[in-house]
Amino acid sequence: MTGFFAIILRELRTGLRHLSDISAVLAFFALVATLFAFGVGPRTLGDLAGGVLWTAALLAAMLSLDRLFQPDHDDGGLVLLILSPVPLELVVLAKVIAHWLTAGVPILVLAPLLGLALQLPEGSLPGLLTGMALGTPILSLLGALGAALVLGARRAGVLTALLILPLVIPVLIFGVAATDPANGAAPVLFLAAMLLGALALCPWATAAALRQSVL
Amino acid sequence: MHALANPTRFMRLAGAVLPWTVAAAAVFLAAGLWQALVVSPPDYQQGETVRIMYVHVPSAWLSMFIYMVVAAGSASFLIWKHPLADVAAQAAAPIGAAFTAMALATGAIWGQPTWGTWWVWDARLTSVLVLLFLYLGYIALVNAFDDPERGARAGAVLALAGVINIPIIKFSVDWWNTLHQPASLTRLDAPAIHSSMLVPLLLMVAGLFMYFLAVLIIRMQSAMLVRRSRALGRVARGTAGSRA
Amino acid sequence: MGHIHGRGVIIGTVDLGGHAGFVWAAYAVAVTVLIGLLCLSLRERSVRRRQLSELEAATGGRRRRRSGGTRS
Repeated sequence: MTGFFAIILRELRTGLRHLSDISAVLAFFALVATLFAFGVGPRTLGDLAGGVLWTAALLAAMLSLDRLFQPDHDDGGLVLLILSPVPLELVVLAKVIAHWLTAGVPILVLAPLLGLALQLPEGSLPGLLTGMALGTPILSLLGALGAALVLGARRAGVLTALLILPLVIPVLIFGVAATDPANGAAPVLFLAAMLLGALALCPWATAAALRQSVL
Repeated sequence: MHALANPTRFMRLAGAVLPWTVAAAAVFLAAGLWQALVVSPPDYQQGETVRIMYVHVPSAWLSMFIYMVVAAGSASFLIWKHPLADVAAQAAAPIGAAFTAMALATGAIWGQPTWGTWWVWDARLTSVLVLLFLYLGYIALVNAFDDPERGARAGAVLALAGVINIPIIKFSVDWWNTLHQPASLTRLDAPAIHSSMLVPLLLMVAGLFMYFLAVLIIRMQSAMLVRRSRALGRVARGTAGSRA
Repeated sequence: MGHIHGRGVIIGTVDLGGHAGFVWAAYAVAVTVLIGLLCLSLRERSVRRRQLSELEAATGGRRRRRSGGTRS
């Protein structure tokens, strides 16, 4: 267990050392939202705000995935992680938690501000935040699987997005639904169920993908 | 089953089976087309456009079935290291993608006279569209590596992740669809299947399935030829190393 | 045969009502996709077959080496 927390701390430390990575993700998040505002015009924006914020968050989350395993893959540290006494599934989980803290949480913090700018309806904010609090960890979990699959591939960045974005469609659907108070608690419960499912399956699948990448 | 695990023996068997699957595909498809376009009656609601169903529904069914084939091949490749399962999965994927594209195109062509629009964000069409993205992702991943073994293994993991996700995606898209229910639409569905419709439908399914088998065998033969070329190249490099 | 409900064997454009074009278009798309995929697959197989035979000729009749992909 100490190894588990050590990995989280190490990842957080390197993540915080590269603050420009985090700010690039946030800038991209804000930029996509701004593009939507220019694209659809300010008048109809309020109804779209939930969907726009979620779409922008999905795209921004894709940007930060390459730093999950790529550095370890490049410098050979991945083999050490696989051979280490800590189970690889736990290593993956630790890295996912660190990734969520350095990418998901900043997106979560910026979302209400962008919501104001996009004229998100008054009652939608609690739903947006609970939805994103449950949804962004799923993005990190599934994104880790994608990042592990493309290690060593050509055009890895585009490929991760192509693989993962279809799989996160349910997160988008329920996340946007959660922003509408009329839908009640159902979307939030679905998101929670998906988070538990992803928490159980993704570290395992990601570990399998990592093992075969160095075979 | 064990006999199929030997690549050489399997390929000999597949070569022998291939002409029969081609013949069966031709016979079933010819009979199915004749039934679909000539014999079967027009629908009392949809009129003649119901004939599009006989090509749309079978291709949609096969597109889902072939994804299951890809996933099953990937599972037996990862779990039992079956030496041909990854070849089968990779050979099946482009065929599945073609059937998915076919289902989408014929669905759009059916939608125009039925709904007055080419595309409706209806649960069924949307799910098929996502399936196409899953196929494209799988094909892109398998071909993204310089080492084909690596592509095969990554693709197999992805196919299994996809097959676990498909029910969740289907459920979420259905739920989303009830949320945004557009004005009442007649569903693009077999309208209360009558036996005169079942015959052409089943003939087309059988014909397309045989077509799938035939093209699958041809593509697997290509893959085995590539494998042999690579092995030969490796041997040649090994023995003629001094000349290089 | 073909007169099951009083129509001729040939379904002309008139017979299919105003929507004949859609029916034909759907079947044309399907046939194009099926034949296209078949031709691509056949061509790839013949290219691979030619490559292998060239390689076999180049390596001096070292035929029938078992493929290396069978080890587990």
